[in-house]
Amino acid sequence: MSETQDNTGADQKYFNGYWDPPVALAVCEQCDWVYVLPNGTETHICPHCFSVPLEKVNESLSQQNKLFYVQPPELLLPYKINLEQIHSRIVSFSQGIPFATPDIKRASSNDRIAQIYLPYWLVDSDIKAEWEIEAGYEYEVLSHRERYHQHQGGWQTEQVTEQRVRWEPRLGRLDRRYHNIPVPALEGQKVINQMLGQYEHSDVVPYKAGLEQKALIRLPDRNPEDAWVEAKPILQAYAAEECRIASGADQQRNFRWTSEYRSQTWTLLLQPLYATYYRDDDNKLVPIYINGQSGQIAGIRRASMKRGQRASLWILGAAIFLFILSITAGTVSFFAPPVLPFAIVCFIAAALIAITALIPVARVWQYNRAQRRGETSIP
Amino acid sequence: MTEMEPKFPPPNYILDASEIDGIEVYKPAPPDQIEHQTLVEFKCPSCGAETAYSISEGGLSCSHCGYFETQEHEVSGRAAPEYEFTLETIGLASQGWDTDRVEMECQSCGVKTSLPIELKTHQCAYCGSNQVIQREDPQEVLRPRFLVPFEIDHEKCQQIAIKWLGGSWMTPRDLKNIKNIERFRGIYLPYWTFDAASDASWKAEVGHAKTKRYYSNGKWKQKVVIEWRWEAGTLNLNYNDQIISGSKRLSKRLLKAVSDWQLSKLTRYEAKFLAGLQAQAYDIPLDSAWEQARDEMRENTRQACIDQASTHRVRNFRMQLDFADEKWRYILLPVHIANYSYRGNSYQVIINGQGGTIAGQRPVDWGKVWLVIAGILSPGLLLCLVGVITVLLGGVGIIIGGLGFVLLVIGIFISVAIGMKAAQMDDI
Repeated sequence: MSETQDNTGADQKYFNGYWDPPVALAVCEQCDWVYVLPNGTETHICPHCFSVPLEKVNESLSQQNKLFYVQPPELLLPYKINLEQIHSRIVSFSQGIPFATPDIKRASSNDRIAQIYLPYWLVDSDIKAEWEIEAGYEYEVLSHRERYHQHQGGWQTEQVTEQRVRWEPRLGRLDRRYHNIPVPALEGQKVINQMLGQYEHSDVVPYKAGLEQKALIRLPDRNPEDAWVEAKPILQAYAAEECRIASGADQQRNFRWTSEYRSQTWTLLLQPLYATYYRDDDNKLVPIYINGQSGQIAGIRRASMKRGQRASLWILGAAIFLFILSITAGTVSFFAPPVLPFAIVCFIAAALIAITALIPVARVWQYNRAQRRGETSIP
Repeated sequence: MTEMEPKFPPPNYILDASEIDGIEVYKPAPPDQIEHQTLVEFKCPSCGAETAYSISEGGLSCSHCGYFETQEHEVSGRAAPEYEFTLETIGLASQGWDTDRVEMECQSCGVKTSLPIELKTHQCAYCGSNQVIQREDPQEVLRPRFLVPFEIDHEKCQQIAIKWLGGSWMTPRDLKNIKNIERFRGIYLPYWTFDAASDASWKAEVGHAKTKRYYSNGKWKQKVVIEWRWEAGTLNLNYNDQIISGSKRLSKRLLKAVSDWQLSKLTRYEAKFLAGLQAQAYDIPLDSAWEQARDEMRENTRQACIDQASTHRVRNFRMQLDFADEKWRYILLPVHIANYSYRGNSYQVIINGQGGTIAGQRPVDWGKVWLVIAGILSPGLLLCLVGVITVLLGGVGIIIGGLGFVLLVIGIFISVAIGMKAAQMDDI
């Protein structure tokens, strides 16, 4: 941790004005995401919702500080996924979409991919506590399964091993400092984690201006005081787990404690994210997000109804052609009866093909309906 | 978060090893951690002489000055805790004792004595002090935790034995007046108790007898035929406190004959119960005893399944039996043992120290037995003889002979039963 801020005082101002070179803030009026723009960036469409261009905030940082935590971060997780890997991820993302919109192929083009750093808090705290748990010790017990067959030598015994847990009370005192406990800095962090997976914090590097290159930095929408409310249960879970380990137990339950927290320090960490989009049938931009560290991809998969309808029309056309052929052959059969079977076959084929013409449209409708049910997007 | 007790740590908690710096861990103190001593001696607090457990008074008494100390009985009964068959216990129990003898030093006179490992009590040959040995067992759970205290004292044993010796017509008449029966020795024997729930499913061909009519040689005849049908069933049985002896040193038949123990009187083990008495540690390990108990349980379950069949004719019987909640307990049970000699032969008697059931060897007056057998067989033989003679003389000998034959067969059956009982009495 290169720099930390002591956050014990409630009235403390966070802003110290350390961005070097100076930066500008921009806000999306559609989704309310606030970004720090890379140096020299003039305009940019919001890489979160891809709805409207970002609007630069003309007020100074110190004025913004009243509303946002605008200090520079201390740590950064570098991008590990390159553009080539993004392309292959998007190809596999689009596979399985029936009648995928052709524009999805363009989602991996350079002009569409935006880099965003998402903020995450890491908190350090001293904890002094008295704790109690029910410690579970796993053990194995032996039981027996017996088989008897009159004509196969009588009894045959098989030993069966069964896992059980013995619960014993344990209590104690705890006096430790906890380091780098991750606490969400965004309201929708839980959804982000579900969609893109957890980030591995082992290879963090200190933040230096310029490291973020062309990336936009999302500002936290929780300052440390807000985040502390969520930090406490996370710290409690860490402490409970450590009490289990200290007791030599395999499991723990009913953790209770009385705790005192002291000397918290907060560190802002940036996590890498790629955002891109494709256009759907209505020319709306549909966002796709990629974890910049693991490459996990998430986004809305939408089938193209236009392509589905086109396919249906082609099939229907073929059916109409066969129908006309069957009518013609039927007429001819008045004069040349051997043509009649051909006319009947053409008629049946036309009917069957006409029915299959419904399949593309129905498939697209059903797929989009199923996708909408499970649709989540980064809030 | 809940308010915690102001005092820390609470009583009965001891510091435990912690795997993490900065975290102290406390665990509940084991209940008998302080009590366990390798050798416990019993001295009278008034005169310093030896004290011993008095069965009739139910406490420690000094035969020298009359001092008496009541022994509290913490009766747990069948609710006494049991242990599961953990892999750790099975492993350690199967190792048994790692030595045959152990050297103990008398705390009174300092003499070292080499004792067989299975002994749990000892009287010093030099100073006569009563000692209870509580050596470390292969595992803590393999120490006896419960026992049934003696209720029958030595005097009562003498009375039971004398009555029993004269209680059969097969024994010599002068046996009940025997004077040389030695003083009964009270001894706690090791026993294992086992619990299990059994879940059995069976399938077998069951035979149903049917009368069938058939025509043969111009006549209608009947015959019984067996029709075999497949039947199946399930059975759940709970076995509670199946007792298996932990000692190889006494006859299984004798022990079985006196095994009507009332485990509702199981009492928490205290070294004082053993003072002045003998006690033996197990020499049949847990796994062997459990195999024996399981054998009994499964045979019992098998029989119960066969009994479920709609008739007693069963073939191609097969079953699956799952044991669950298998538990065990190691206890000490009281018996009195004595020997006596009669006409140069030595005999052993054993009495259940709780209920007074007696079993043992008794000499048989075979002259008396043969006389009775001859008396039983003679009417049949006599009538057979008369029958043969009258047949030869052309009389109604067939009827007399037939009656004699029937009586002879009955007499043979009775004689064999008497002979077997006599042999068994003599042979235990």
